[in-house]
Amino acid sequence: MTLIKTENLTKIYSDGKVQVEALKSVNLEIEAGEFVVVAGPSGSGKTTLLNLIGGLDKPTDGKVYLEGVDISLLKRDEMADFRLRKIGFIFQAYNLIPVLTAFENVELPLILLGISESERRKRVMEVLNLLEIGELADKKPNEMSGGQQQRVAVARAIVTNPSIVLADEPTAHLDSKTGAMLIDLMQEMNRKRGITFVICSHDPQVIQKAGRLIKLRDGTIEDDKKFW
Amino acid sequence: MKFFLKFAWRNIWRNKRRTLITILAVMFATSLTVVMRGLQLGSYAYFIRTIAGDYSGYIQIQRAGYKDDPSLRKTFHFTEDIKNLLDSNRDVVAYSPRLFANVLVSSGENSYGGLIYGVDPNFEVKYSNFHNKIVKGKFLNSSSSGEVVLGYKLFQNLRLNIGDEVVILGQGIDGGLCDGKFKVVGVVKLGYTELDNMVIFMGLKDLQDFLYAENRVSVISVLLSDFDRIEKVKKNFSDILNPKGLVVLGWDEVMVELKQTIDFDNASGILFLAFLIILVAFGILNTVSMSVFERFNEFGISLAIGFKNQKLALVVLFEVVIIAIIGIIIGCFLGGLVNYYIIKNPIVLTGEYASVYEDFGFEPKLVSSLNPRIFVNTALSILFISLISALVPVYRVYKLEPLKGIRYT
Repeated sequence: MTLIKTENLTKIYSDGKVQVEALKSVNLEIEAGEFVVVAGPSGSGKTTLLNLIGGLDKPTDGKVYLEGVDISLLKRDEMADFRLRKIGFIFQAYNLIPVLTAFENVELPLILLGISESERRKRVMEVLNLLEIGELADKKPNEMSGGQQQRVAVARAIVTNPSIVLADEPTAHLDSKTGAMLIDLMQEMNRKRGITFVICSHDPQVIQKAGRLIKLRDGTIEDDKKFW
Repeated sequence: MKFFLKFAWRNIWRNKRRTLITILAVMFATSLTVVMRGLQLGSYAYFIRTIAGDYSGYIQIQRAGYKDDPSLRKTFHFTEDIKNLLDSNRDVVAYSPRLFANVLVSSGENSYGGLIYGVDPNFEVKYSNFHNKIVKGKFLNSSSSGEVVLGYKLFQNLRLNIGDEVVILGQGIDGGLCDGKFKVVGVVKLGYTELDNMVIFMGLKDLQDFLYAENRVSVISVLLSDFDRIEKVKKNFSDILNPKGLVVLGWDEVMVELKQTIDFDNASGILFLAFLIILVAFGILNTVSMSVFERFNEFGISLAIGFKNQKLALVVLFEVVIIAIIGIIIGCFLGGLVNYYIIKNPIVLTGEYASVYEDFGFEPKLVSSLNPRIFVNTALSILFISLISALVPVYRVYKLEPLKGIRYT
């Protein structure tokens, strides 16, 4: 089943004088359950592609369909609701809310969804235990290591059972060992729970774990290989 | 909602020092406002009690039209029905039937215009403080007959001594001239130059006989247990007395100038406090702006995971409300303590201020008030201005786009 489809996706950044074409007519289809790594050098358009797929940015031209919905047509609140229900995000760093505990950070999307307290508790602990960070539930981000924080971020991204998780350089601020563990964890979630992952990274150890590798260069797809 | 409140509560303690300084600013503005308003309203109440108490009463019964034409023709009979009405009302602390008349008073070759206060000493002593303002001789009593008490300036102008006689010339209710000799038994200093120049206290019965106005009075001044009883008693009495051609007026309708003076002073006081509160608003604006802008990145991520802008804005608004409410509660408590202390231990004025107060017949002291209106108005004003000052940063959060937040440095 096609989960994501882009049609002639184009993004041009302009500061009034200079125009930079970050993405040039990108056509792409991602199936449900894929473990996709989007790789490429800095400025190749990886993050731009991710932001457009996640509805964080609007394309200059072209369309993005997520589960058949043209997300560029959604209004601001509809998009927020869509992200909440369908998309999980993992960012480079500083992506947890510092005043909330690990439990509360993971619980937050469920609160926004209006899920009951008992159901929230059950689901949050289930995900934290699945990621082997149940003992961190009461710790705040500043009491956790970078790797632990990213695990919590993964927990928050998957707790709503989203259709897709978008991760932007998730290992960028981690040492290689922790980074490898994190990517293994994401792969495990992909296999165990069937969650589709789209990960932007130029980290070789992430790239080598890719189920499908999309290489971007200068805003266009240079290569697209499927490994499993 | 509970979560958002908890979230807001934790957010405000991220930067403890900044939050504490802001709370202190709100607290300072609140307590200062409460203390200053307490002094203002306390003083007004004191002035009104003193002035209205002695002169107009909290309420006053007159014949309709007397206010605009205070002549003998507009006097009325002080009947048993009216007396019973006043005696039977629990809110009435005291009352005084009074008859006023403009006269000419002479002694030897000196003549001056005078204003006679015809008072019944039996009622008057319970009602006003005139008898405590005697500077020479004595005040009238129930057995006084053919006796008067003069304002000290009039007494000086007429070059009199206690026990001397004065001749009073007036116009009776029938329009005919009337005159009589009266013995000066006392001198009173009321503190109002105009009155001290012309006031003559005379027994009510004496004056009624003098003016051929049997059992007639110009007004009945009534003291009530508290100001907040005025409207109720006024309505109650009006229902009964209006059909008889009488009206019941509040002190503010009788002493219009005093009311205007208080209103003007009150307005200038409020203006000063508004200025103070606006200064605090800038402090809150600064705090909230800094707190919001340094969290733009975090807000961006929150929006990305599905937070809606209005909910984020609500959290920021909660933060402002929490800070304001903490400051307001502590400020009201401290301000209230100060007010309570001043009520129990009035600030005694000395020097020139004291003289001014004494000249006007007031004790030279500053009093305060614990009127709930002070606290409610102060709290609402500061809360309102806090919310207003938070509008700009809250609006920025409301309009924030996720990506702009994430990229914000």
